[in-house]
Amino acid sequence: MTDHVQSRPNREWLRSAGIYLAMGLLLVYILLPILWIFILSVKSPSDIVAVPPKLLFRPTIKNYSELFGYGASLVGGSDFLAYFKNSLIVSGGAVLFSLIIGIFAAYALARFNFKGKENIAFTFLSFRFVPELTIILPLYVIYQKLGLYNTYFGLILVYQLVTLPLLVWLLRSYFEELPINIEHAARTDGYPWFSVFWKITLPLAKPGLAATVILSFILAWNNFIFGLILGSKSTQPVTVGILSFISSQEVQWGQMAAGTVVAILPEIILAFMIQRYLIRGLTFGAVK
Amino acid sequence: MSVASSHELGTVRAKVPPRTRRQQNWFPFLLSAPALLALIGVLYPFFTAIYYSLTDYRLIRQIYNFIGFQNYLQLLRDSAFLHALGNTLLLAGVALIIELPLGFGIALLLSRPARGIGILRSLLLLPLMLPPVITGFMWKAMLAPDSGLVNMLLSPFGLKNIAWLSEPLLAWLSILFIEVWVSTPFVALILLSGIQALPKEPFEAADVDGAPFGFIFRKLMLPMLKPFIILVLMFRIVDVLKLFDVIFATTGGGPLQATETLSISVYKEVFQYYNLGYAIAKIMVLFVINYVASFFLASRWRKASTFDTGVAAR
Repeated sequence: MTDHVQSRPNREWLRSAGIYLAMGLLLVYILLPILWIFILSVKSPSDIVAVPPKLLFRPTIKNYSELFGYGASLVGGSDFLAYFKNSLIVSGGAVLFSLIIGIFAAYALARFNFKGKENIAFTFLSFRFVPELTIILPLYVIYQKLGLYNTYFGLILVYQLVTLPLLVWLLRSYFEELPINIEHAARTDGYPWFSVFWKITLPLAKPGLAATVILSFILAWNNFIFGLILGSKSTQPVTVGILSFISSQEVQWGQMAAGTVVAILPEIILAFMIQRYLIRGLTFGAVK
Repeated sequence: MSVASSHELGTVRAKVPPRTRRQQNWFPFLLSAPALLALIGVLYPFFTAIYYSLTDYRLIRQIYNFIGFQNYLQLLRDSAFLHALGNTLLLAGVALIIELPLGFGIALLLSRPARGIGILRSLLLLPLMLPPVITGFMWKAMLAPDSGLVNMLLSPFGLKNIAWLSEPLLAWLSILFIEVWVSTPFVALILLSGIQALPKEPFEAADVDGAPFGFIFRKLMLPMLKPFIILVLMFRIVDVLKLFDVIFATTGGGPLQATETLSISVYKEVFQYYNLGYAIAKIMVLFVINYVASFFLASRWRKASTFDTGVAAR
């Protein structure tokens, strides 16, 4: 949308001032709650409950050190690391599992024509649109019968609902973009299918593959409801673990805030690493 | 794309010996087999869910009976359920009415070159990447009556100690506000991709002709962005209808069920009243709504995106 040539520079100035004002408002709107939680995390308990809230205070790292089990830890404090570890195991395991079972399906859906191909692809996609509770409520019963309730493996399996459709659809769209001729040339030269896939296709798909894996990990990390219902304390992820700071006798804002910062920092860094690919990822490859 | 590659595959097929050609028929299924097994692994609990919704299954009893459609008939008379259903639909409707124009506005703002626009675009990703339940905690801290930042910012205007999350109407509005905070960036970023993929020529031509912005917006931009708008609607409707995490973290559905959505009411039905069969009947209603909405929008999207606007049509 090219602008008209402005006859009056005054109007142009007003307009760009308006734009910067809108940008500023947007910036504040997005960042304020995140900054506030960071501020809470470095406040001492007495500063947190001060009325009116103190803007000038002496920052402390006590909330963080208690979170990691040093000093006079209150409820839930030293458990935080265990929840964090659970998140790493379950999210990492879920992505790895999806990758192992999904990468070949994604390739097949991208490169071959076979009966029912689109139906299979759309059934994967439909997981994204099913309310999770429809699947996990019966699983609550089934898992207890099978002994999968409150196990890492059980959670990794159910996390496939989040990671597998994303991985299959995204990888499919990245594979489709690779030129097929190189693969054909190698095949005609007599290389077996797998070595062509391993030595040519995968290296070419690397950026898309990396972005897909990271986004799957972030979405798995963000999940709350699976661990809430299908796990208990020894396997639940950090998103559920933070609840314990709120549901105890009094809300422990300081530790809750410190826990939040620690829980979101890794994924924010990951998200910025793949920001170019994010919208494509969140729309399952529909927007390129 | 898929047309092109199938054509190329066809030519290659003609060259390879017959044995390999037969191999190609089962080969893709072999490759997909593990993922297809996982698919069946999901369909099994889904069909179990349908069956349980036709029983009087309670978590505290071992025995349950098949009772046909009684749970579903009961739903029609259950005023708490109807309240939760209405609340879910209302919240979804109002949220979308706010998020779409707001997101469009932000997308337009970010589509023009300006200093710092790149950083702003990146920061817009933040609300999307945070775990929704943690966003809930964050806003709970922001909205705390005595020590929260929101009340502090409002206090110069004579508004003091507002109990945002414990007054029914205020709690509902707070949930709406948080939902808008979480999701508007998604709307904005998708529409931004759409705006950036628009062809330049029609807009330059309209500009040369001196068409007013309102005209360009309605007659050029909106129709061309249609696939993107449908796509946004598809993702947003499904997600806002199953809203759970944010509410669980802030109000838990209260006060007085003011913020109780279907998902929250289903959770309570199971873990407070142990009525698993009945709860699954409730969630099935949500499943059907989601299914119909996404199916309808997906078919509209496929039709709209055959028009080449940068959205991949399959």
